Amino acid sequence: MKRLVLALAVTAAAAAIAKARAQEPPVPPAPSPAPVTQVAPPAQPADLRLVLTAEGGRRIGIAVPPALTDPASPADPATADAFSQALAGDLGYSPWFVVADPTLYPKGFRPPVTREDGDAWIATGAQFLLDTQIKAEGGQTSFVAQLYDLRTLKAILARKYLSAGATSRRVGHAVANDVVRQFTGKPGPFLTKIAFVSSRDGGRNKELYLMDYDGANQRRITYHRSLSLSPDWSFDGEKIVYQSYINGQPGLFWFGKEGGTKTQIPLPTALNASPSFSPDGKTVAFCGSVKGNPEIFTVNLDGTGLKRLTNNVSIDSTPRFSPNGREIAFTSNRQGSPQIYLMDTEGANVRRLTLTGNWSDEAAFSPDGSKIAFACRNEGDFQICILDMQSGRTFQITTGAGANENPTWSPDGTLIAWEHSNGGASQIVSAFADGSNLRTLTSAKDNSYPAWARNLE
Amino acid sequence: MTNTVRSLGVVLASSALAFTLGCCAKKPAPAPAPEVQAAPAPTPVPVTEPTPAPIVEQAPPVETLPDVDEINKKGYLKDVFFDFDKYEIREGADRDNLAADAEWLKKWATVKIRIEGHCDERGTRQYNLALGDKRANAAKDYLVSLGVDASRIETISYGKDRPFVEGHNEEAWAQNRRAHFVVTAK
Repeated sequence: MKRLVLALAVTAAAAAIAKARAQEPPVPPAPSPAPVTQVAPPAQPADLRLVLTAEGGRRIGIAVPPALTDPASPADPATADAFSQALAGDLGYSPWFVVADPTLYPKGFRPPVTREDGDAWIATGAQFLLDTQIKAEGGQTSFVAQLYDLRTLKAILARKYLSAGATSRRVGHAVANDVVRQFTGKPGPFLTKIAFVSSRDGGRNKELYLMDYDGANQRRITYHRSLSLSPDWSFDGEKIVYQSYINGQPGLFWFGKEGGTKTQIPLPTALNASPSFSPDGKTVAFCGSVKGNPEIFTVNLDGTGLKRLTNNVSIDSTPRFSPNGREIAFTSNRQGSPQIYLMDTEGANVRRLTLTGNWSDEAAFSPDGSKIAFACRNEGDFQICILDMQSGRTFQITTGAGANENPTWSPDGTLIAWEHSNGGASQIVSAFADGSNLRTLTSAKDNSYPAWARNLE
Repeated sequence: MTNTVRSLGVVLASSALAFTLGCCAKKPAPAPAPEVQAAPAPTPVPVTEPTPAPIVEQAPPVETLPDVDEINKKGYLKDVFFDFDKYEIREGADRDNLAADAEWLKKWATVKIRIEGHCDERGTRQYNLALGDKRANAAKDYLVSLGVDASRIETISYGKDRPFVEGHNEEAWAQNRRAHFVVTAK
């Protein structure tokens, strides 16, 4: 048994997917330099507009034909379809790739061995071919993925995955993550989760829910039969803190694993809204009301160390820890209309960040802290804006009818989810960080307060 | 102020009681017996006696409040309304309503209330939670300034997450920019 089994746990919650380096095709240690240089670097964009409006020409053409099944030990066709759909769907919803039109795919020519094979795939507009095979193997399903550079005809990525109890959709997400990692150095958002609030259980109650990044697997995680709002994840993805009216007056609660015990943070303040985890997971910033005046506080999860950071007769609300943990963005109407400010975690060095519009709220730091997405309003409905912290420039990424708010970034910074309503119930939508490729993730009743988990896997 | 109100209430209640007792005391103690035997009795006595009796019965005795649920249904307390993104109590009807609310609360000194702050759906959810808190407390502070004991008033903000009325139009928005009064104990 020469095979090196990496056995990575894809997430703590789900069954691990055993990854094994496939024996058959030799794996080149590094991708060819050409594709790497063609990708806009994700981390330090020199020009925000360039990255946010990444043109199709800058994206990598990739062909993702349905997985082939081994006729000798065929896998369940439904399993194969779910895998292929998840994989193509993921890569088609990534700003790094353009998935070639499947109607142009040639029959056969897989794997691409000859120049003729390669050209048949290049004719679809692809630079790379993701060739996948599935077979039943010892009570499990095995998935082999090979990513070919169609110019060199070399596989720059080749991996074998064993289902090990995971759904084939999940394996498809894991493969897509590895393909993105091959080009960007970090996985895509395909195995991440979004927490949100839904009224789908009826009445006037709202409960917390979880879903996959693409809206799949929506499931309830609180049973308070009350109003529960505003979830926020710890940076390690282990904890969620939220506001709930379960005891009448609203309080802050947190829990660890899905289904874990909900613990209330003892607080002397009223309101107790908009909790935000510090990056170390020990402290929560929140909006607490003292004698009818909403202020920003931080507190440890056990209720100790309560610290008041603002002292102003105006409204101070919606605190958000910056990813480096040194600053907190918040909203205040101290100069008239609600606008977003920044202060350090001691409450000093307050400066105003948003300068335009008549209502800005719900700041959301990008994972690298270089940008803030927020709900912005000039006239009419709220839109989603992005402020580039370095240049101070603001970009509006939504247009058109309907209101948009509560933006939240995918942990890789490529996608943003928010809530959208157009004269009715609000639903959670996601899009690329430039606002393109909008899709709706929820449909049952009213859904709000999306919070993207900050851990990638 | 509150003590005065309470004392006044006690005095009124006592005098009503005294009046009731006083009127009854004027009657001859065994009421039915003399009536039967009254035929030979002197005429002026029965004539003067019936006159005060119906007055006592018609005058509303001590006012009582119905159940808390019934109080809330009947709407003894008037809500106050706000402009978009504002939490100041407006001149005019809203101040008049709060003044009437304060009088009612001073009359019923044992009543406790909760003021719910609501916002219209056009604002952002997170800020609206703070705005609702400001609205509820603006209404509370106004009542306190008119002499209502602060300890009788609880506030809560629902922002736009539990709207007073469902709806997505001007009328619903105006209805939801409110501080809503709920009686929690009588």
